[in-house]
Amino acid sequence: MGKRIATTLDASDPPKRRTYKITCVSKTLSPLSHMSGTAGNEQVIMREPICYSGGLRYVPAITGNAIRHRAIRAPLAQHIVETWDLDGQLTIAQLQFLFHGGTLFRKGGRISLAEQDALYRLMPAIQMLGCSLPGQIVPGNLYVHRGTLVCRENRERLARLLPPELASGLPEDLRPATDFIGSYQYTRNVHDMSVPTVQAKDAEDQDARADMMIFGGQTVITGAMFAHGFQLVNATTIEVGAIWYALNQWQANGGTIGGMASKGHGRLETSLAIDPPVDWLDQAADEYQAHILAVASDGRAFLDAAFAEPIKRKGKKGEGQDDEAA
Amino acid sequence: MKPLKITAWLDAPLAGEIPMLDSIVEWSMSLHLDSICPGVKRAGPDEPVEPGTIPIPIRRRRVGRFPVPLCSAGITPAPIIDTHEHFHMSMAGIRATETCDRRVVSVKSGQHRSYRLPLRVRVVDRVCWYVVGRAKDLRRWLRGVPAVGKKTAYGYGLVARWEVEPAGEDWSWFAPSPAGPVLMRPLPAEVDLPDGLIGYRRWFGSPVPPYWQRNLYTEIVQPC
Repeated sequence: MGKRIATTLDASDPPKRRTYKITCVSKTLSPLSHMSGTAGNEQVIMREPICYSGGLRYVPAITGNAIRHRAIRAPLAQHIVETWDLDGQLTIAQLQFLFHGGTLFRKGGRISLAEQDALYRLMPAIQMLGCSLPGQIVPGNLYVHRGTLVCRENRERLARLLPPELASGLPEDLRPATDFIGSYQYTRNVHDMSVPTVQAKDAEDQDARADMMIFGGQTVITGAMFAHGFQLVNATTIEVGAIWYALNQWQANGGTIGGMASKGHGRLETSLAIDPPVDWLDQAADEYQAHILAVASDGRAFLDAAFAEPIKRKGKKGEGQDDEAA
Repeated sequence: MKPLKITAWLDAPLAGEIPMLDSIVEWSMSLHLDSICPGVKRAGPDEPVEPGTIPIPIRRRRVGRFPVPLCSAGITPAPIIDTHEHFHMSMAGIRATETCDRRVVSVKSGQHRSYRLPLRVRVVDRVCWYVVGRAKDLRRWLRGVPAVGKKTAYGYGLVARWEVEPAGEDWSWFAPSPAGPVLMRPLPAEVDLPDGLIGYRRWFGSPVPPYWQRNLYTEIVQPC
């Protein structure tokens, strides 16, 4: 039995906060199609401009926003939905809050510290990511780094991003980024809508109306590696536990990033190092899950109260506009 | 307090505008405000912040009603590229089984509107500021700043390391150049400007942090 860690969220005994840096290295197990747009008929992968030997290079990258959503927010939101038995119970606004961060849509520049405090106590992981309640924006404390391709052009950056033990293990002859760019091509059946269905009299006619459309684009090839990471500023151990739980869930469910995951694209195998090194990650993840379970009824009540529709009272005729009451 | 040059070496492109160092230090210290100055009460909702409340380790000089920090605006080398990227959100992946609300959701307008917004992105390797301050304290507070600029939660503006080094002269407000003195930061327009000042324009904004606070807006001169 490991030592017990302080994950209490009781305001009378504030937990100790510190900054944690998690560095990850992910290897692509299938082609990665994290796209940024199209060029003609071809989809183009996301690239970032970098300065290399005084010049400019466009190198494949994974955006921090994509990593944030797929690896952290979605697993944690799904965990809350399952633990609090919210399946089929959420309004669209609550669903958007949990899975997409919410939107500021109520009038007035109101900041409720009580609401922020309740949010932190009940959903520390959602607060950590930053979100928007209907009436106020809540800042987060999680910084997600972009996925940096392990390639020749990124060597200098990798030496700074990776911990020394990993950076020193980089081979001398890193391959250039262009070596990691591949392509895919699939076909799909497109119905020729110019011929009305009623006119297709037999099977041959039906075949004549079918058309195979080719679609394709670029990928990052299997076996490429990306360095990325997370920085948790002024975080408690329960927030670290949430991150560890989310990353495990993400990996257990395929660990995908980017598009066409249903076709097998974008699978990543991730390993990580945490600074400062700790030995209580599994325990912190267990305590995070236990905490979410313990506050289930309060959490459901919070979601219902925070996203309650304002009651509309209809004024008498001639008394002017309808007014809203919270 | 001594003249210093502070450099943030970046590991990722810088998004949005170049931030002011004095406001970064104020933000970093505000996270620990209760322990730094226990007597100071946090401003309530809709309550304007009194400028100069947070005791940042940067010297301030009063100009009229404003305690203006001796800290220049951020300076970057010419960007390798000055472009834009997009960030977006869409509810397209929503699953009907998770919601009791079976109405049709409009993603074209309203609170669930999808967006794809442009973001100015500059590829620079560093941002520099000239300040008059205490090096040791600045190092301490900047250590807790992982990124600068906009959309830092997405990985933009990631700081590889902070470098605080002595500077020969105080170039926080004005710096010499062959063409004449150059304005280095926004200052209230009432300040005594040196003769032959170049590189400035008159503007209406805040000369002190928090720079977004409207009640601090006044006639200023700012670098251009």
